[in-house]
Amino acid sequence: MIKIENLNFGYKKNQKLFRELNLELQPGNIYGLFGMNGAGKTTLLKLMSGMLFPKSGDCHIFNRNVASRLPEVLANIYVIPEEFVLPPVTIKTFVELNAPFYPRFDITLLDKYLREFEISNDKKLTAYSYGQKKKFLIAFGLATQTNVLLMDEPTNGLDIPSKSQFRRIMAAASTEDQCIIISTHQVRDLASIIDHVIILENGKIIFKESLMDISTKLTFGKVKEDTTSGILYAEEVLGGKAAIRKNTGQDTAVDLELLFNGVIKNSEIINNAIKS
Amino acid sequence: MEKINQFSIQRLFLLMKRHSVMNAKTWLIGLGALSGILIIIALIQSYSNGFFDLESLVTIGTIFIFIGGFIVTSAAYNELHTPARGQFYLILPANTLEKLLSNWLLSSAVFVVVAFVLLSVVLGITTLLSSWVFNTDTAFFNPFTHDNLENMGVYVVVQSIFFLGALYFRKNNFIKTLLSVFVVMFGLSIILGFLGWVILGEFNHISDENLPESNFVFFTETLPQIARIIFWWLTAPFFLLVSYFKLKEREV
Repeated sequence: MIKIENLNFGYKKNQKLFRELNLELQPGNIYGLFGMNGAGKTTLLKLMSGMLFPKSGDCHIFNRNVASRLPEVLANIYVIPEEFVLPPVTIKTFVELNAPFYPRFDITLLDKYLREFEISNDKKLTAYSYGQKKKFLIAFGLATQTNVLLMDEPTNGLDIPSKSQFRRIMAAASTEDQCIIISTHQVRDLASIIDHVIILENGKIIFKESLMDISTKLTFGKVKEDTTSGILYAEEVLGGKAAIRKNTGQDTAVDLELLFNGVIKNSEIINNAIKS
Repeated sequence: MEKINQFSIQRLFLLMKRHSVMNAKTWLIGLGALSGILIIIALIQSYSNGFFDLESLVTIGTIFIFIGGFIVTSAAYNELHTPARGQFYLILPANTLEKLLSNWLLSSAVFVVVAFVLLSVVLGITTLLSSWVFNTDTAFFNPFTHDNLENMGVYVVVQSIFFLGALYFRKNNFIKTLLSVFVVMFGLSIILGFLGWVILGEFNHISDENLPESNFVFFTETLPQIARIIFWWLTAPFFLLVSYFKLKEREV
């Protein structure tokens, strides 16, 4: 569905953020795009949506170059940005003005998500809090039913109950023909909804695996302070060490934060452990 | 799937509606303020002159329309220049031509027609008010005379320069476009003046006595004709074409 080939991009001429980047994403999956600040997560989403153009290389969605910004392509992408300004209109007016551009937009879905997010639609969008605006955008984005949904730090600004609502809605809303990419550095918020992990560092994809493969090949958990054998990565936690080890028959839940730290520390060891 | 990429009148109207609703408040305040100023000027004039001076009010009104229109045009892509808002506009499923034409039509043809109709309504109300208060004769403005239609045409042509400025400059578009036009015109007049001096330096002025007949016709008829063709038929398409590519290449 999304295919990035030999993509090069940099904001300045001599500073390349992405060099020969290749990535292929399939429908029916929710990808978690993780990375430290400045790793290029937001830039990658902007390149995928045609907001930025690569210096060379291509990004294709359904075999169409995104940079062409054809209505056919754009009608299949919705982006929920981290930073945004909404116009001073009511939800009803916003929907009237924007929804007709998305052929599969479903108003009943929007109402359903707004109810779940507990957003009343009687005020101007500018009167809502940042978190409420974000929830409205998430609801609108899901109601467009585009094949590609790009979310940049969707849980930023959401309170704890809203994060749970978000996870519940996302788990129920994603469909087999949809490819959802959620960029975040708050890995814990999304552990239960993503099925693939992509980790970006310095403009390079240093890790891309399905949660299924990760949980099959690795185990996550606490170990004794003096344990060293079989440990791929470990870090001090309260009351001992949290470690990533090769799975020897004991399946555990994937600790995304630990995985992220381990990959950032030494991606080669983790990648080799999964590939072997 | 190919059909969706072709130019769509429906999407064009949707974009025009979207742009109008988002900017309606600013436009209404601007038009209301200018109408109010015009009514006050008209009443003061009627009081001091003792008659309703339609001609001078039409001139003032036309100047308001031109300046107001150029300011509206300069703000046509404000949404795009604010990154936190522009991202939504850039990925709105419509092609570049639709996004260009929607804003251009609103700030050119639609604006100028609405503004001239509003001017005739405002002047109509004012002449009745003046007649009632100051006992002056009534005079009504007809926006569809040859001169007024030509003014509308001039507005649409010059407006295309401000339209490019709206896309090219990110802030203070109106002032920056005005300055750019001034600089370009100043440069052009120096170049043309120099060329004129080189070619015609030996003559004090162009007349049929000091120029051969063919040259005289060229300077007094052909050259103005070429200038008219460039102004009326090439200026707006040129600036719109450049605007199109500027919008197409625009990133967030």
